[in-house]
Amino acid sequence: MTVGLPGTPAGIPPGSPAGRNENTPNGGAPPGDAHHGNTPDGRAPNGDAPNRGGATRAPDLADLGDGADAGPPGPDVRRRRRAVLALAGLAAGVLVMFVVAVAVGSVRVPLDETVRALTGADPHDPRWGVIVRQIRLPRAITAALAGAALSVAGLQMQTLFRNPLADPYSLGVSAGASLGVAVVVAGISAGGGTFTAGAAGASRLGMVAAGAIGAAAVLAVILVLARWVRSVVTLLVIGVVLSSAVSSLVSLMLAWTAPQRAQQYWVWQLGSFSGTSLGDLTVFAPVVGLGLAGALASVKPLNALLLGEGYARTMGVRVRRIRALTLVGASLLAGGVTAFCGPVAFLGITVPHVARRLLATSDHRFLMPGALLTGALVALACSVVAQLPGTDLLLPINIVTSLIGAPIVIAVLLRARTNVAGVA
Amino acid sequence: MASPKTGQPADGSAPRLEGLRLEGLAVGYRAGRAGRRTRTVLAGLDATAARGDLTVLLGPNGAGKSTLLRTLLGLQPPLGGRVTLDGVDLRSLGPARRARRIGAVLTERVDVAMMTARDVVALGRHPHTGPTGARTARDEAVVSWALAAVDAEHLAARALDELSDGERQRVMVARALAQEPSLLLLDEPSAFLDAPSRVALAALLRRLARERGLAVVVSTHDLELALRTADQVWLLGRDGALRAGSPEQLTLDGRIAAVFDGDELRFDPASATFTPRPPVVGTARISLPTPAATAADGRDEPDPRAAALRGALERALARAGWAVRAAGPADLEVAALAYPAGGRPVDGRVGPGGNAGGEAGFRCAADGVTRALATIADVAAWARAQADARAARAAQTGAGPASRADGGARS
Repeated sequence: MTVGLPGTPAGIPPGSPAGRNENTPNGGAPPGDAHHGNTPDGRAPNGDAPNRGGATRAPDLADLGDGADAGPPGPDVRRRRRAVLALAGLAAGVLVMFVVAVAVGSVRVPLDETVRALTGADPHDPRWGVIVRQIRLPRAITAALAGAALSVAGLQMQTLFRNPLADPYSLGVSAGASLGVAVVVAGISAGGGTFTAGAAGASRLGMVAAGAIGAAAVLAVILVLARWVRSVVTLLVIGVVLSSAVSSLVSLMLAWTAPQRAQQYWVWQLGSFSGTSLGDLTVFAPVVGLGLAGALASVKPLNALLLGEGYARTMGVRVRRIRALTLVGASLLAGGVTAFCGPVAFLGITVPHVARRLLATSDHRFLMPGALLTGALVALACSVVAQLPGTDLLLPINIVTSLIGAPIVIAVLLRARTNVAGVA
Repeated sequence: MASPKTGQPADGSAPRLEGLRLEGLAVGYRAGRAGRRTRTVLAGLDATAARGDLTVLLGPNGAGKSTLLRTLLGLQPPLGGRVTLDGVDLRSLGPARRARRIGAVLTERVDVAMMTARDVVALGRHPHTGPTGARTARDEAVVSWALAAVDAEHLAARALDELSDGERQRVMVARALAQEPSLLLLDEPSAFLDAPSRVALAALLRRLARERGLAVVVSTHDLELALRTADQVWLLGRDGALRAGSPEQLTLDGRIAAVFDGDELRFDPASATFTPRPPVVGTARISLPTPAATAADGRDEPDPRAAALRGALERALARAGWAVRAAGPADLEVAALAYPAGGRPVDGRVGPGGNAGGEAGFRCAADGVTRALATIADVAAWARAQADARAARAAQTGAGPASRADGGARS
């Protein structure tokens, strides 16, 4: 208790809950004890410590401290241990899957050669070095970052909106990015006049920039609205409606775009971890890193928000500030991923549920890193599956994530009895 | 149970632990940009809630109870006046410092998956932990203490979404206690609870106020229970005025009745309960067997069965519109012939000692006709039939029903 003001003993004597606990384990306070909290003259309650023998208090506190770890909260400790173990397992899984993602592709590169290429040595076939370093490594890093980003953003949204079906795109961030990309694609088409003009189509840089600008624009609208909207539910509905309206705008624009040009949009729309170069990563990685760091730093207020905004405020959380910070952070993550990889579906909504079940807790101190690692693991796995190892085929990433994600969403809905209201 | 009363410190120099004090407080809502437009719900509120006391906030729906509590909690700013806690103006406190002084139980329904009761209580440590939210051994000890204080240790490892409403509310009180507050504010904490849980919660709150020296302010609809358990009542009238006082004082002053009486409802100051008030059709008199006939052991004490049986008969008759009189002539005469064996009526049947047969337990007379009825259910049906018949006759002759009962002259 840091209330240093004299004469304001709270219910519990400063620094000695244990001493109090000793006397009143079940509230059966001895008559003398009843005065502690309410001495009218403001004497510190433990001023009459001789009653209980001040000498014994410190050991008691120590005992209780140990007891808190080993005694009654035994299940608590077991659960924490389980969560930590799960986190360690996830981290190991991410490492393994990262190696697999780098090792697997349409060209067969021996594993030892892959390792050589990664460690800087020159593999026997110089093409392998290029494949591993220039193509597979950026792809694996992108997948891991995108998976982590979308999962963490999804968890932030689900907690903020206290809604199990909220996802990183709930606010329309991906719709905004889509609009940006569609403007670029359609604009080139219109400007070129014929479809032979601009044969290269919109440049990758142009599409990434347009996606980022579109996402930021939607975020700005949401943030302005959030200043007036008190209820997060209203905000969520506004996001969904905004999303829908923007998507209609995109459809309208594409309807007037030459199909050959529009094709570029549709490919982008399917999502890909493969388009990111090492150069892209110098932007993508810091953006995602910033968002992830912000999310990890906000686990404490997010935990308080589990009980709802009202309770969070009574616990001293500056709800509006946390809400704005979380919206910005989640949108940064989702917008960054959408700009570089397209609107990757389903990871953001499903992974937080999977992580919650793996860790068996809603405590963000464990859940946030858990979602981060699970997201990276699942995205890497999806990226591997999308390569269809042994073939030349490359599945769009959204096909894979949706085929995996849809059953998970259904399972979550079927188990809604325990999940629906609270998730988060 | 001496609790320190506000404004009466042992000596004037020591800092006073006066608890919560409202001075000319105005509460309401701000609207529009920069809150230029305001809608005042309540104004000029002066009251105190002392440490160690259970203060109950009563008022009809829409009187502004929640608005007042939300203002005290800092969820919305006061429109005027000030609120102090132990002499400190609440507006001078930042959110975290405020949270270390005030714990709350809100009406928001908390439904969190994958959280144990202990996890939820531990969230109450929020204003005391560092930026990571990591809990020290002391934090864990306080959590254990808070669970123990509400007798919920056995719930600690259970998932919150598996708890009953009553258990969940205990956990939420423990969560508020884990903030180590000096003031507990509870908004309708018993709204979802069944009757036994409501009583248990009220007892718990009063015990916490006493033992921990907390100021406890509870809003509730449960007026009868509040009047039994509260040390002090804050009564919000329909006129927006806040009157503070002991429940007995407010009852005797007629304040409670003035606020809550309605056409169908009457507050009985004697029993501090509400009774429905159907139109009165006539008077009734009850006679019971003499205690001497049954008190075989010769003790000269009032037979507890008499009070129970009389109460049951009075309620049955009052429900049908008969005002019970202690003496004098009455339209109905109901005489119980014996008490049930074992001192407790079984199935409402009253038979002479040990005789559970179909023998008549009551002799009932009305309009010169006497009937023998077996059970109290029969008596209730008979009283209702008599009331219906009388109302029908009154309607025919055009005579209005008798005046409303004033509770009768209870003995």
